[in-house]
Amino acid sequence: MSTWKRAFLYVIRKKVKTVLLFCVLLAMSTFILTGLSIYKATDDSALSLRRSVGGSIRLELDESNGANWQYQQAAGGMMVEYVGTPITDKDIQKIMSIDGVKAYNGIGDGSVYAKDFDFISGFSFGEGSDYSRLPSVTNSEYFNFFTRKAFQLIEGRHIKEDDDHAVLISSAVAEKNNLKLGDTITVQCCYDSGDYPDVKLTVVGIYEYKEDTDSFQTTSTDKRNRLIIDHKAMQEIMQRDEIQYDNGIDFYVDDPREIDRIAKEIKNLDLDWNCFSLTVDNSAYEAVAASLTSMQSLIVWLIVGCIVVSVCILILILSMWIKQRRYETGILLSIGITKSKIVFQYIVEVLLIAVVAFGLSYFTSSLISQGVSDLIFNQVAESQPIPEIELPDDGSEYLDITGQYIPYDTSNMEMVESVEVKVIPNHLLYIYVFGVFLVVLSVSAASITVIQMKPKKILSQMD
Amino acid sequence: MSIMEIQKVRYSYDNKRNVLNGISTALDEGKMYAILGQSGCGKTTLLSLLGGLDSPLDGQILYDGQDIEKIGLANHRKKNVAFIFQSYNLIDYLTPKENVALTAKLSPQPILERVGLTEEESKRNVLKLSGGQQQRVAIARALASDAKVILADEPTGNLDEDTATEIISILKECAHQMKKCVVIVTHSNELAKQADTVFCLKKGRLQQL
Ligand SMILES: Nc1ncnc2c1ncn2[C@@H]1O[C@H](COP(=O)(O)OP(=O)(O)OP(=O)(O)O)[C@@H](O)[C@H]1O
Ligand SMILES: [Mg+2]
Repeated sequence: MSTWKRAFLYVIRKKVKTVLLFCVLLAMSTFILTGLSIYKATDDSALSLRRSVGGSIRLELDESNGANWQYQQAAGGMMVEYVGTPITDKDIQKIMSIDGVKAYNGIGDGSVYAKDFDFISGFSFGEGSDYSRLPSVTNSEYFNFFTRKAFQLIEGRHIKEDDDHAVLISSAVAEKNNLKLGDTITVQCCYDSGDYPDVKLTVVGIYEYKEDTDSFQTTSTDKRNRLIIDHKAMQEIMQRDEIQYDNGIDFYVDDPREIDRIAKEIKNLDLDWNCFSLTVDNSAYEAVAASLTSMQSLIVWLIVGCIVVSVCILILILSMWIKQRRYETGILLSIGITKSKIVFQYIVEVLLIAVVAFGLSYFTSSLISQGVSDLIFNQVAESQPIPEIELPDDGSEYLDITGQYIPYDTSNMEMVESVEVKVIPNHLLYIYVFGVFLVVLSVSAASITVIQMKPKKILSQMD
Repeated sequence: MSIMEIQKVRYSYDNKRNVLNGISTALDEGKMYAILGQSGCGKTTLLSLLGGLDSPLDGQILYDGQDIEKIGLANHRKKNVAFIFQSYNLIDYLTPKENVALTAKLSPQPILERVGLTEEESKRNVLKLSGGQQQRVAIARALASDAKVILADEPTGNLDEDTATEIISILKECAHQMKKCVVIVTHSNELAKQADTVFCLKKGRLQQL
């Protein structure tokens, strides 16, 4: 009689043991499978969260290198002029060709008076202070104020690379001046060194910004007065031949987890690093990823715990049962069946049950995994602080028109509250491969009493 | 030539007192041997050495002229000898037929019928058979293995007198008709008389009566 047949007959005829073992194996594989699918689901949602919050690398003119800057006496005071290598479109193309860089946004800088409309007035230092600074952008969707959710586009569309004299205005300015999409506004550069023309801009979108709680605002620091325009408009306003990325260029990456690798590759490019500097901004991802990361490590521990506990239970039950089978083992040994074949029979018995139990766990785990995931998520969410991003305390956030120091508006950020869990056949495969390994391990460990059994004791012990 | 030979075999569990103290004898096919002796005199020990469950400290045991250590003890157990125990030693989740098939070199059913089990009985749960019937199954299993030597340790110890007589006569048949070498350990002088040769084990020595 073959070992397989003996194992099969044992499983069929010892029904109580079979059912018990089946339940243990089913519970074990259900928990592990559930753990795996929740892990996979959080992994997927972590990736899409990473993609949605993004991460950026800013290439800008190096302000710390004095050799690049020239100071001149001008009418209103000292003028600072950049005399180093400018950032060109060629540099941008080099960086864009790096794997994992998905978009860029170059930022220009200017200051204008409102000619045929009014800004929201702030604290005035005197005549002529009713101007506002305005950024020009390649793609406003990737402009820091928007990516950090400080600005929300509520009407119209974003500014694109090929826009010509388009502008985004705040809902506050729109309301004050009764402006709608498609209306035009006129601005003029407020610098006093030279002649600047009136420039007409078409409103293509309206953004909303929650008023700063800080009461001390001048017109130009009030973020509701930001006019976000395209580079062509900026060229005309400032009377320049070339697009100037005065405030640097933000490069956006697909997956913030890759950001260090990408920054390194940019560093290795043949650019004039005497004049440029590189800053990595991954803070948003790090802030939001916390809940997912802790969820994932919790799940890893749960899976490890499940495996350890179930292997222990399995070894305990099996060694108890195998001990009870000394008599049978003695008989088999006395008719010349080797120990290894006897242990192999025990393994086959458990595997026969396991194959069915593992298969069924696909369905049981599909039933419970979503519920378990929500439960764990609630636990994690309760113990998680609301993500906060630290601001530099040098006050630069009031001045910066690029949005570099804009705090991430966490109330507008999509927090991960639950993930959609689905058990996939691939995981079942893991369960089979890994489960078979665990079963073999457990049975072998439980069979120590058989392996240690000495044939000479068979006769005396059995009678 | 004798199928099995015991040459100057010494055995001790504790290396102080010899259970077997230089035993020599030869066993032939077609014969039934009985071993008598007081409890604890070493009968089971001798049988387990013959069956390759353990090795003697001194001396050797030959099967077909070859040292069983050379044949390999597990191999010897599997091919050359079959055990029959006092407690029948059947596997409880197998039917009589399947128990016999464990060692199957021969088809189980005719052998079971030969030792007196009906077809219905040979498909029952072994635990639902009487002691005598269970011992018949054990004998059938020994026969099915096609081993030439059958070692029976008190095969009738748990049976009433009539059944014991039947079992002994079946074993005798095995020896005389099927040309097996049957060795029976027993406490009963009556049953021992059925054997062709009777030994008595005393103080570690074997005496032929
Ligand atoms: N595993 C063992 N370890 C130590 N001593 C043992 C062992 N098995 C048996 N003995 C001792 O060896 C001696 C012979 O034992 P054995 O079982 O061969 O006797 P026996 O003749 O079969 O007795 P019985 O008729 O009661 O079955 C006894 O004194 C016994 O106590
Ligand atoms: Mg004994």
